[in-house]
Amino acid sequence: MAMTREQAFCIGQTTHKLRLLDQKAQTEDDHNKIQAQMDRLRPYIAEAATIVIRETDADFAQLGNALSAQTKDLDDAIAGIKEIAAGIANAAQVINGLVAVLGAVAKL
Amino acid sequence: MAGKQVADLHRRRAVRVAGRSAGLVATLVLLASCGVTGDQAKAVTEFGSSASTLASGIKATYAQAADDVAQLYSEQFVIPTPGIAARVHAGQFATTESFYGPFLPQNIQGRTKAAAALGAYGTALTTLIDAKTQNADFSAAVTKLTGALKSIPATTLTEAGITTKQIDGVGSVLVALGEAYLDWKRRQTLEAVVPAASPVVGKLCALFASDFDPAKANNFADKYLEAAFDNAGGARRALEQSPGNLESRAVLMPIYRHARLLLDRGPTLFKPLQNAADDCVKSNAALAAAIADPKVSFDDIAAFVKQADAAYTAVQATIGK
Repeated sequence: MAMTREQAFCIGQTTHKLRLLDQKAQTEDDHNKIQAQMDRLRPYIAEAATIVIRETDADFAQLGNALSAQTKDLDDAIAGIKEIAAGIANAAQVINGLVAVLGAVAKL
Repeated sequence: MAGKQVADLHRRRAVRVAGRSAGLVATLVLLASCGVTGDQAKAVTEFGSSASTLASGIKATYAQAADDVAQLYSEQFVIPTPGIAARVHAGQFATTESFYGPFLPQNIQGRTKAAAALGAYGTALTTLIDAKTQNADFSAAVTKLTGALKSIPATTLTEAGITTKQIDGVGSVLVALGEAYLDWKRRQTLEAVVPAASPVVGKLCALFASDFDPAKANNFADKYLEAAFDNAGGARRALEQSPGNLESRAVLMPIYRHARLLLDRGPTLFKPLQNAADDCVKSNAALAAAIADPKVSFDDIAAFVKQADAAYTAVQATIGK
């Protein structure tokens, strides 16, 4: 039977608590008791962790996509500002072209 | 009668010129007063650079953590525990996923893409208010244009009644108007984008802060520490169960040491990112507030006066005579 989202998060909560308990444990006996509980969960830890990371990753993806759309507006504005300078530079090129033609006509 | 007509003509021309000057200066003043304020520019710069730095740190940490956990999961092959036996029996070690564990690249692609989006947003904001470069580009383009205008044959310019001094004047007006216009465009863009992006950025930074909080369960930091804790415990138990087996000790000791190292190092790896993400939430809120309620500082007033003065001088030099 496939593990459910709720079961995966529940296993995650339990291993987290066991890890915190292990940090506080003072005696070898306490460490062993905690390890005995971890041993019971061990067959399920990898699958539960994968489900949790996949589930939470969707939240990041959603916000990341929304932010990318806003960043596009900024990029467009920056491109628009650059276009103003490019437009003027382009006008200069057109004038230079006209001058070259006028010069050639004047020599005739 | 003829003298009166000439006088009227001069008076009308003077009024017309004064009107044009006043109109241009008014336009410049209006544009300049609608530009990005010093406080806004400061808020944008602070947020932009912190967001870019945070995004780089996040991406590097996700990659480093994925490598660490991949190594931890591959080391589980040689830890003789009931759990491992069950997973081997279930064929879980036959796939790529078994090596990467939960941090398989496709499982964390939303996180890495979100970090990239945050970095791109910060960089775009910084680029937008980079007035120095953009104004220099604009100035260079105007110089090129006035240079091109001046290269028109002198006879043609004379026929049109245009002097090179007037061309220089037009260039000055263009630069002054253009810079004020660009500043106005920047402000318009910030006022449109920041309020829309701010709630998303706030949630995203809070989500990153939560993901790297070593004290929370079921987040990225927790899954990293869980893998290290699992290996350390499994290796320790296996070592205790076969104290006399030197071969087993030679294999398990480095695995135990590696797991303990990552378990101890984890919080110091994640805590600075959690703090940076928390700061990102704050600087994002400060940026949104600065855009929504701009306060004109003394620096802004000084910059505005300087800009308006330059614009007025340029206009006077060209059409005010």
